[in-house]
Amino acid sequence: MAEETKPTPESSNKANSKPPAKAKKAKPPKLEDKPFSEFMEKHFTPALKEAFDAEGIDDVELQFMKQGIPIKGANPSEQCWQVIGNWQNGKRQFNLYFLDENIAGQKAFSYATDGNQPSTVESFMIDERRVTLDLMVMYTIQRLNGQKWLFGN
Amino acid sequence: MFKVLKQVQDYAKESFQAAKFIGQGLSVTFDHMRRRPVTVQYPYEKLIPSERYRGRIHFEFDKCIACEVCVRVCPINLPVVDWNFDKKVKKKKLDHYSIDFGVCIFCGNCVEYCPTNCLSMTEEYELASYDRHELNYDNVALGRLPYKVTQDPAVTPLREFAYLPKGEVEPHDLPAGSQRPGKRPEEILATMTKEEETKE
Repeated sequence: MAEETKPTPESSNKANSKPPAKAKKAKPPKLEDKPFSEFMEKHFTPALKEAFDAEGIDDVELQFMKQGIPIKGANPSEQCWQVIGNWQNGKRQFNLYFLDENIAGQKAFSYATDGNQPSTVESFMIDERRVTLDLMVMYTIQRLNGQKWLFGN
Repeated sequence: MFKVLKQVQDYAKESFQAAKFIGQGLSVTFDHMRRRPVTVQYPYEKLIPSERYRGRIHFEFDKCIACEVCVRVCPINLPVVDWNFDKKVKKKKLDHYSIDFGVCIFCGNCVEYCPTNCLSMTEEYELASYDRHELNYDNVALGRLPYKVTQDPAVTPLREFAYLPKGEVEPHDLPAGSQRPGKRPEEILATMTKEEETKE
């Protein structure tokens, strides 16, 4: 129990103390404050690709584009930004939807195998108030690992 | 002379009362005499589980924060929460989650206490398998959409006795739109809000 309870206060303290320190040094604005598409293209997708490499998956293709949601029942004219990743020649595919064109806004996740249409949409980072680059990458990898796509059981 | 008459009178009275109370006590039993047995042709017809039915547990991966409250409140510490602390983002990274439904007693404590509502009860109750290890559901199996009696085109859903209209005992061939006796929750809510408005 001690192990579980200790990290949380530390993490919250550090999270609180970091932004003012940055502001004092007048550093360039935080990554997360950059425009949405710039952040996604220049920071999120490379970071995600690196994370995939670290997991031992080197044939992953990541695309960032505006598209309709490829799910039965969704309105195809309603487009939203999404990160589409696939590996093993599209045998495994996942979509990350950014419904509000903002990384702090609503996000969703869906997955499909063998080039099929995804059947369900899931929430993504729904209970997470803090949205940072590292957290987004961590959640994506965690979700795919939960699907047993990175390792077996 | 009168004393004997009194005794006879009391005896008659008491035996009448006894018969009356026995009859009252058995009224539910006697009520069944005018009901016919209702047979549900199981694989083709299924009863709709009631609202608070505790069936298979559904798990939403995204919402889980790996707090292990479900494990603590479980009578036998059944859920397996496999997580690692990610030092880079200072966050617990959930690797795997599983519940063995061969051991679960469906008490619903985990659902009750889950702080993020990532666990929920479903109406799915057909969990039979040939191998008991197949009942150990991992997070992929727990996250699948549950089977519902009302959504299966091959099944005629039938209502349970408490959900039949008043005086009805047979769930087959009910007229369309027939409702159970009493008000529905939304009707109660509507009258309650009306009463509050009139008070103000």
